[in-house]
Amino acid sequence: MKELIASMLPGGGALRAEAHPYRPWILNLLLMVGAANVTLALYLAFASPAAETVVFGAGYFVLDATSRLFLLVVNLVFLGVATYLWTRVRDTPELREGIERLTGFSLLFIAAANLAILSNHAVAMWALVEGTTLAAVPLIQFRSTPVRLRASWRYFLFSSVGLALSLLGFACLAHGLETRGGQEISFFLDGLGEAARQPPETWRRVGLALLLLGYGTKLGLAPMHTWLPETYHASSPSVTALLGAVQFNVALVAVLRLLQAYGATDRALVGPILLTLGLATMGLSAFGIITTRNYVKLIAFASLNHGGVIAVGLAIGGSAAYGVVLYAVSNAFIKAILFLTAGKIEAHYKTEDVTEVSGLIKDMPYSGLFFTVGTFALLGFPPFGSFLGELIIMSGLISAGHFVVFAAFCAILTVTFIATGRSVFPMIWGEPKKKVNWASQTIATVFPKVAFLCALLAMGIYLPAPVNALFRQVAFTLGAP
Amino acid sequence: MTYLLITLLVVMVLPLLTSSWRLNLVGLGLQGLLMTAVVAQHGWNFSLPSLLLLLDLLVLRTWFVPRHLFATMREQGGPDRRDAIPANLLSWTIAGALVLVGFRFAVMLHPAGGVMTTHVAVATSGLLLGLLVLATQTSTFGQVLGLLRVEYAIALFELAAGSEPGLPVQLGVTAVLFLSVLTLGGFLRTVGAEGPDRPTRERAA
Repeated sequence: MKELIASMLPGGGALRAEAHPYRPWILNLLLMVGAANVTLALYLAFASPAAETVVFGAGYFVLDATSRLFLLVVNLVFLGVATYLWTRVRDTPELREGIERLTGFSLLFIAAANLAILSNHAVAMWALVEGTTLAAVPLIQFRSTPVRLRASWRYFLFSSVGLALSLLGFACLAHGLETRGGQEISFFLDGLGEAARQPPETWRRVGLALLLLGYGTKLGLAPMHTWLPETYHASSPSVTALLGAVQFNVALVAVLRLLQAYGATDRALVGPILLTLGLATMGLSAFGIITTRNYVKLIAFASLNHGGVIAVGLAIGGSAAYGVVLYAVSNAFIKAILFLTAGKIEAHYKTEDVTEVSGLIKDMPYSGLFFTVGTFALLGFPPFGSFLGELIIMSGLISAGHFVVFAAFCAILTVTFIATGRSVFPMIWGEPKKKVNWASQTIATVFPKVAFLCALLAMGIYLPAPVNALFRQVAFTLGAP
Repeated sequence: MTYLLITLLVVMVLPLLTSSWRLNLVGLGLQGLLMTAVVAQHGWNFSLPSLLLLLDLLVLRTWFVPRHLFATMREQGGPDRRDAIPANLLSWTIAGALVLVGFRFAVMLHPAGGVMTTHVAVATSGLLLGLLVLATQTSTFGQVLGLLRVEYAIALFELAAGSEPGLPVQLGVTAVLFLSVLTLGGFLRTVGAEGPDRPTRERAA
């Protein structure tokens, strides 16, 4: 029952953290749970061959390549966030206020996220994704400023409507199968696969469209994207990193599960929907990046762009699938690096205005370096995994004969690149506006970001064989040759 | 069955034409009660998931949801008059048109007619009316009401399937609704019934 222990561990930690007032060990607990989760996730990822599938927990949980890879990614990010919180609270005692609440809900959040990734039942997974949403609301509200209250309301409203549409989608799938042959649908993943082999009909088409629109809300895809920039901007950096890198990937796993079942049989329906949502999101993201003067919002809009690129890649499937997996994993680490670094920059400059920050690389050498490298990875520069992922997706567009989409894709990426560079490069290399004596950072502060950077580099240059096998297996389930 | 479904449609529509938040909450409770009756007409299986479904419909949707929101709203104070949709002829016409769209949609998908067509028609109308409330409201209370109407309509739609989910799934879905309602009540308290951009009476004072 090692798999169950892996998923339940954070839940137990959550109960302990909520039960006591502040103690210095409260963040140690968060850190220990994060470290224990990563250890277990590493063991589960590489202890057995990538293609092996283990079903457990009365069939409700599955350990396959998809769950192994994404368990590892989200738990690595969670450990990074826990380390960030630990060092920030240690160095800044005033941040201790309310930290028990933040710790408790963070543990509940990661417990729900782990269980959702492991879930072998589509509706149970839906309930667990909603569980991450419910745990995220108090995290966004942390310290209850009016801006955060407003953002958390918007987040909850959009998430609830999106997830309600997904639930309706499941109901339509079930209804379609019953009206056709009087057969009951099983929402276990293998049952979904069997249902997909039946000839498509209207209910199924409506159901799949609703599911993509609903889960698309959690991925920040247009037209249900407006909550994302506001929420990412208003939340504290650690919470934004959790939303952007953990919750995003949990929702992505839900979409991947759908495509693993219906991708081959219903490509003619899901392909155009994902392509339209993806390109529209990329366009809106580029517009947002051009208009904003706030670097946290800029990263949030860039996250929208990432969601769009992933949707386009998923729409193509086939040879682009490996690029999508590479891009999605890179995206998690990039967001974690950038949002956590943005938190440090904001704490130092007391502003989020790009025009007020200048000479970052001289003022804050470590944070400046992470922000620079993170921005390059964000823009898809070599030698990072995001570059390789984007390249494979573009190559997939060409091979599939989507020349117009390819042209639009390249045009939007170029606009995004220019707009981001115009705002961010002066922040990094401009003349410092004030002279500061910035305290040196400890290894604990920089270690998670260094680890994420190493992972990004590895994905662009050389992936060790066992890791690559996991990536390839996930891509294979999405139709990669 | 058809009488129950038509009554359900009336309970969905009537509160929209009134300006009382109390009536709108009573309407939600009645929807829960009528959905229980719809399930009872299908016939009960005496199993754990069925008992949990009964708990979900009768205790949670019929009693807890309106009761909890009623208590929260009374705590907040504020005016008795709260429109679910703008009180004008255009909004009422749109609401009527959406009910017609719901019925047309059901006939398109179930041309044979019968109880299933009415069931789908009522659920679709409920969903569209919920989305109308969500689209026309800027106040927190109005949006909470819209969200719950959408949620109830989806639950009604699921009842049409007739299949019984496993216990963990039913438990998960019920728990999600329960926690969502508690969160919505929390928002009504912290953000205020008017919305995040408008001060409540207390905060203004």
